Amino acid sequence: MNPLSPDEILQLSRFALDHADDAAFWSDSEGRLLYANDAAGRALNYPPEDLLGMTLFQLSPELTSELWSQLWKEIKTQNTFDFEFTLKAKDNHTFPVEMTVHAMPTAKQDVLCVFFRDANEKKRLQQLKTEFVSTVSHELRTPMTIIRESVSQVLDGLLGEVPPAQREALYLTLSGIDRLARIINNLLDVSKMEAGKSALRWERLDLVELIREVVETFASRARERGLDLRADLPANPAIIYADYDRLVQVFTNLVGNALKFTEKGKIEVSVRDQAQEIECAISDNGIGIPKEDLGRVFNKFEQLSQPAVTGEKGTGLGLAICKGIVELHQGRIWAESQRGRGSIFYFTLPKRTAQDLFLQKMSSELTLASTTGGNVTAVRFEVKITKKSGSPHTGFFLNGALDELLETIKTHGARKTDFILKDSQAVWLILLNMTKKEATRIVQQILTAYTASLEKHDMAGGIQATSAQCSYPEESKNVQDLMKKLQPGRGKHVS
Amino acid sequence: MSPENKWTILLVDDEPIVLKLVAARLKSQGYRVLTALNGQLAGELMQKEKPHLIVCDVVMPVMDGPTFCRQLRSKGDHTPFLILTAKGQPNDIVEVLSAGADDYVVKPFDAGEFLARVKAILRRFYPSPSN
Repeated sequence: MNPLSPDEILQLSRFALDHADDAAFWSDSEGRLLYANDAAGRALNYPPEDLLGMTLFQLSPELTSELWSQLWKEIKTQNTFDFEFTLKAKDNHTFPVEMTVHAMPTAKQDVLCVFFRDANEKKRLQQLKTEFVSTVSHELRTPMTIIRESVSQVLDGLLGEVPPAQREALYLTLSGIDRLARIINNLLDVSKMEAGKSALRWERLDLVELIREVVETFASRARERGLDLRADLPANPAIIYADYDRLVQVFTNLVGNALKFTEKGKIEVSVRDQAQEIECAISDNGIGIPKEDLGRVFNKFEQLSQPAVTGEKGTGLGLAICKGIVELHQGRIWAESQRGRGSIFYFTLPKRTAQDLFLQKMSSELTLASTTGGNVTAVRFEVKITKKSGSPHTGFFLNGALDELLETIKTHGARKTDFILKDSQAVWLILLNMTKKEATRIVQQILTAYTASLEKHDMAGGIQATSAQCSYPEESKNVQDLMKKLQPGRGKHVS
Repeated sequence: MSPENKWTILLVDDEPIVLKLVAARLKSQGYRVLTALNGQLAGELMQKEKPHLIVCDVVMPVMDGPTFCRQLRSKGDHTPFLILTAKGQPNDIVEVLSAGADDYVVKPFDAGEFLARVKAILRRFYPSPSN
């Protein structure tokens, strides 16, 4: 074997990078391209040599000098960095990419080695998978219906007397079918979350109240098994924006698991209200999870090596669903455990304002609209109590007025896919796929209907509803500008 | 076997075995059962018969369940409509209910729950002291 000379290594490295399937380029600290491989040229529709000397600012519609210095700072501190980005090809079409950046200090300057992949391709594959899962699960249900109903007719004696030994076998068949149905439902759930197709229904809720309700539903099961199920909750409400049903699903799964893996002792649900986030913990003193399994418990179909103490069989998807839901809320989930001592499952939910959530949703809608040529209108409805009654119930009264407004929006013109969120002073709404003119008509329609319903409830006197709105692309193309127009006090007075 | 009761149910499903099984279940409770293999055939049957309740599948060739339901409602026919669906995701359920259906049961179903829903829907639509 002849060892390679340094020159040959250099040539071969360059040759390998030129011909790699992943797109790659090098850039200097000002974003100027020093090198681009063939794949990068193909993706951006330029001959690779034309890319030399071009800057990232020319290749990305969303890159500003502000964002660049922010990215640069991030890269310098972390050395390597992953993020989502939009690039623009020679024919001006834009596409989302996943980028990985490595900083490489050379003698003269810092050079960035960048790899990127088309994110649309990944999304397309995810979608294909979701469609596949959805079709298969639908097709499975018909034969399952036939098996379940046939067996249950025999079991119910519709077709004659059944000896006890046979009844037993038929019961097992039924419970097997029911478990299969649960697996299919959960699989559909997970695959939708993975494809980013399950949207959360954000609302303002009190987490303390939600936990109390979930714990209540498990109370009798815990009592039957002689387990001490308790909730250690703060005295004050813990208000967050989240999807109520989805969070109930997370708590139900985690408390259900704790019950399944605990022989005797106690299970506790607790909440810690911190500055940036709320941390929830579900602890038990059950059989625990061996160290080697701890990292895998949130994977699909990864059942713990020990069986449940109750003998129940899960679907192997419960914790994967919890993880998916928590991550959709931009929280984290993890577990700690000691074998034989018990487990604690933690998850966090970030505390965010309605305005933050709205801004985030608007950003993603605008990105989508800019690539597909759609319309987006942001609306903020505000309600003011004008009659100073001096009553201590003003806040309560305002909340009632906002609830009424939310109902009116839902029933008058806001289609179900649109984003609606109520906070303590306003209702935020995103209207999609309609021009500014159409959106304005809908907003007027909502305000008229609201005034009518206030009159009906005898609330019209002391309440003033206003709306502020801004449309993409008619009024602005920038999310910050759009949001500025929605600031309190900028609305038109209506009632 | 339960004694015969006064209710006629129209059952619509493109799968003959499902049709046969669900019909047998309903007959065991004394219901009179009519069957059809899709929405269009069910519509034709409705010209001669006046069922008290329609139990209908969603995905069927020729005419699906939601289309059949919408067609009935647009003609001013408000016969109670129970959807028996293999698609149990929230958006699927919203779709069938907004087509004008009154209730739904997801396949594979529990016979006890199915019969209870049939009974409840009849009780709701035809209030009577004996019901």
